[in-house]
Amino acid sequence: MKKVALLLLSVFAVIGASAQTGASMKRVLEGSMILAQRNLSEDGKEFVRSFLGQSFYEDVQYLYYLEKKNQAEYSSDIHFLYLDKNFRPMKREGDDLIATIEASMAIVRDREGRERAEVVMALRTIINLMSDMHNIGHVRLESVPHSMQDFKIWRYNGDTPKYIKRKYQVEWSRFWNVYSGSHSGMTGAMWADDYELAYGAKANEYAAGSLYDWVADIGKSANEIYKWAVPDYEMSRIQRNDLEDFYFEMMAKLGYRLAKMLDMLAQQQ
Amino acid sequence: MKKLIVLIISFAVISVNSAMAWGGFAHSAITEIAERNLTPQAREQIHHYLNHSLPFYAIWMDQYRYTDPYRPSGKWHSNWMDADGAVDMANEKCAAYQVTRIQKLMKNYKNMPKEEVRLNLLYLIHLVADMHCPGHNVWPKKSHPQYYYHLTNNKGKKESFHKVWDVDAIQYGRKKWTASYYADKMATLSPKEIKKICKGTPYKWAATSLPNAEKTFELTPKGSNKQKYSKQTREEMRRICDEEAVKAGYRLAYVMNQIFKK
Repeated sequence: MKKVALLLLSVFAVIGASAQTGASMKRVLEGSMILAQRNLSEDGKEFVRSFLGQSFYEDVQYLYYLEKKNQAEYSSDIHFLYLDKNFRPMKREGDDLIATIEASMAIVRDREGRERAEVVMALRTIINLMSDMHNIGHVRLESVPHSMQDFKIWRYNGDTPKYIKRKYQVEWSRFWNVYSGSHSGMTGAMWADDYELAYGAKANEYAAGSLYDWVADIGKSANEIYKWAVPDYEMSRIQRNDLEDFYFEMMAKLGYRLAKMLDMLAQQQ
Repeated sequence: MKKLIVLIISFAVISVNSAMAWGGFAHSAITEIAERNLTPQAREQIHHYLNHSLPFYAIWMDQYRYTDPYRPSGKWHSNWMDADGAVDMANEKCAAYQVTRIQKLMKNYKNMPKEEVRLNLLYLIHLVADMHCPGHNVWPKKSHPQYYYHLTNNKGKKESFHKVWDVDAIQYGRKKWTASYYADKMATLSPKEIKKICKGTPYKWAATSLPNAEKTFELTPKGSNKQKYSKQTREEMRRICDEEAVKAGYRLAYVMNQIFKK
């Protein structure tokens, strides 16, 4: 009985922590979506509005919403980006992030005569998966065997004897959520303003190239990070702080790249 | 078994509630008010030294206080009183002392290394906010033993007085508020009113906040159950926090605008 009680206790502790992270994370992503919307051309804005309405920040987690309601067409593996040693998408059986984005792009391009709901679903899929692939915790590299499945790391809240004792174990795929939780209170619009201020000068650089170039860029960053991010790695507060800017730069890249993708789809028909 | 289930459910509720951290919320709200009140000149200069917006750096000092070389700054987050109960401007730990010191230092910002200007801006963003927290005023134990007491909760367990004022009070009944909504609703002072609250020095600002700080002891007395405060008490606690947070936002903008004045 004691074991059951302890298990329940841990489950509730996780629920408590994720309630905070969930709301903050949603706002960080909302910031990327607002940034994307601000950077659409007039045609792009009209195209997106005609299918998704005035805003699309709810769509960034649409596949997760379907999963919660047991209405998902895909397995949860769809949210992970698998890359080969040259940082190109791996050829895989079953659900695949890049193959699904490409199939969804084809549906949107070929929208004439299709059911509106099918095009809406394809756009939502693109938005959700573009967001997933910009989360380093969701990148799996063939050349780094330990990255091919989720693993756990430890983080501790400081480097003094008092704080080193406060160690937390966290799944790698969820570790990066810690950064959104540190900025509770900021809204999506505040994040969008912040991304523009901090990274706006590099907007063209981030959005240059194709989906495969973006994927390669993400893969190279992940490759550097997996040099130290190994199972049971102990991350200090200093390292956690140092990585914060990298995380938010990825959120800005997501916004600028999504704007380019949607603009491109608006023009292709 | 029943007791165990009650314990588990209570823990779940506490976990969710404690996630509504005042620290992050209030700091974001204060910096959002400041951001909206910067002069174009100050905004441009701040961006030259800091990559991100003020709200992004709102809790920078908390994130770095336990790491070298910023560890000494971990002691600057409160106003300290002397034996006579006045703000102790000879005490290097005192937030008002540090804000004054940085203001003087930054008069010469054009001749300072960029990294040093950046660091001092990060300190100001946090300290101007913290020196307005009602629970961030420390008296000597002899004159104010109540500062060192604890509150309780429904289970009779100890609760930190400081945390109730930092974390809970400003968010009573406002769990869905965001920093920008707070700024929309609360930062509505006229230019004349803003000028009035920005008048004076950090020492004077800290001194005029002391009556609010003293009220914290009346409102949340030793051993009181933080979960049983009346509606009236909660409203008064929130009013005190709002008064201080709004002043902090305008004053932070003022300090920045003064530094980067043409």
